[in-house]
Amino acid sequence: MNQIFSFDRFKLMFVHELRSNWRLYLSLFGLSLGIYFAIILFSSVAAYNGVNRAFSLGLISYQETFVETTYEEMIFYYIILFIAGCVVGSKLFSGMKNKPSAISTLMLPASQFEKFFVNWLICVPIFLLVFTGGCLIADYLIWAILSVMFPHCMVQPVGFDLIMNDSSFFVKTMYFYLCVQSLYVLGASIWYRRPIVTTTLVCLALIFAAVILDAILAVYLMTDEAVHRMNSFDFYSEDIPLIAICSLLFCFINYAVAYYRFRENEIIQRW
Amino acid sequence: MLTINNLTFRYPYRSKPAVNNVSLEILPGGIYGLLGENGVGKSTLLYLISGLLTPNEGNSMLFGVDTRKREPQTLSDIILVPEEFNLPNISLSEYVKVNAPFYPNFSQEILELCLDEFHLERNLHLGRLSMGQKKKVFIAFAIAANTKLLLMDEPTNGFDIPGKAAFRAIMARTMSEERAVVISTHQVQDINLLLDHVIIMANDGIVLNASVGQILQKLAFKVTINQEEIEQALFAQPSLAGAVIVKENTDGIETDINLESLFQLAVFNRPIVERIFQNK
Repeated sequence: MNQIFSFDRFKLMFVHELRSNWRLYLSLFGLSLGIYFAIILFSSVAAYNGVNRAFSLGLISYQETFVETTYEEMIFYYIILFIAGCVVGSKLFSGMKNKPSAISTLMLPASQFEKFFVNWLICVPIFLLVFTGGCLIADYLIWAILSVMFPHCMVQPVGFDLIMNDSSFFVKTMYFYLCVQSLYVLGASIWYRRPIVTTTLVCLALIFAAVILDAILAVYLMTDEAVHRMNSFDFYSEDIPLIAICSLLFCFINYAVAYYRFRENEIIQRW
Repeated sequence: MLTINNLTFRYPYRSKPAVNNVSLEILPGGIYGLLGENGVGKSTLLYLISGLLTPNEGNSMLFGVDTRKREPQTLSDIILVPEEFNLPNISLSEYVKVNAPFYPNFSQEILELCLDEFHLERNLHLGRLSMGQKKKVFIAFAIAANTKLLLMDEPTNGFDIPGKAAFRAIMARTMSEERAVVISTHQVQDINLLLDHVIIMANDGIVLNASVGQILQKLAFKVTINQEEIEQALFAQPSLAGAVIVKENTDGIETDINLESLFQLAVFNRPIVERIFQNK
């Protein structure tokens, strides 16, 4: 029997996780999609109310009743994805939050890798796919609702433009998202209680410290001319392969450290 | 089956070890009672055996594999019933469906037998049970899992009187030659006649580690009003019917074990116990 990974045990573990915690996942996934749906529906109805009134007064033609919402939907898609992704990432080790649940988690006859991998699979790729798919479905649902509510307006679904309008931007943002989420996964492996708040505070403190250090180094070690000549790293202006390599390496390191911490875990926290 | 070698464990930021240089051998087919005062490290020892804590020194080997490695094969051979535990908010049948496949020897028949003994229905929902009922369900599942090693920490805490009787009946009916059970408890009356082996722990290690047979060969337990007997006893405690005494078994007649008196003797008269059982 392979003591690190067995596909049969992995299947059992996956079913166990989904069946035991389906309420948690349903509420997390459902809430993030519900918020997205409510915001987009509310803003679209508000926008179409205005153009509908203008059309009924004869102020604009039928073609002018179309409201472009792609950009707005994209913004909300990314904002909610980042927030929900970090929350879901922080739940990766929710089974370790107290002694009784840590005992149940650690005593389950599967390898630590299988337990980690199943949770990672649900919280990272599956969440991303479900959320993105859900947003596309929500967009078509909103389109159907708007078509019924405003039959005299030109309503069109955003559809795949939500993610493919600017595919390069989408790909780069996804890498950025994975990097941020991996930090929350790592944070969840260190702080079992209030991982979201603690990780956010620590990240903000580190960013603040880096900015201060950067400023001090610039002031004391470099001439004014050198400071002006210095180019800072801009994530979105770099090539996708470079971003992909750097991001995936960063994520891999975070996941590996999180896994190592989980593997060595006990029912007490040593620090 | 389970060999514990010089196990020592200190909780962080505490100088005194919670478990100090414990060595034990647990053999299949026996029910081991783990007794000790509060804070001597009984629960910690069970966690160390389960691999839930990392010892500072020593190890715990189940079939030659260090339990701290938490290998799936080892985990499917151990089940721990802790004092506090979480059950998911699902039905019992769902719980069994998702957990039983991890234990290759799980027996639905034994589960139903245990549920019947505890007077629990089979279609119950785990989210709607009292703490005592949850414990009964968890114990029923743990016994039905048929693991080689079953560890229980205060299993009868929170049980009503019929529940305690049912627990004893279940343990007696489901015990097998391939399985070892370790029960850590303060409720010695609940397991008095169940045990095959008694382990009494103190802060600095094991005070007594002997089978019930060995104990009864060397010690006799009785209730007496004979003043001379009471004065000569190794341990005596007044009771309504006279005094419960523990004395050396010089006439070779085996009595019933009285765990409470044995425990008191071992804790408060340790040198005598160590002399009789030749620990030192």
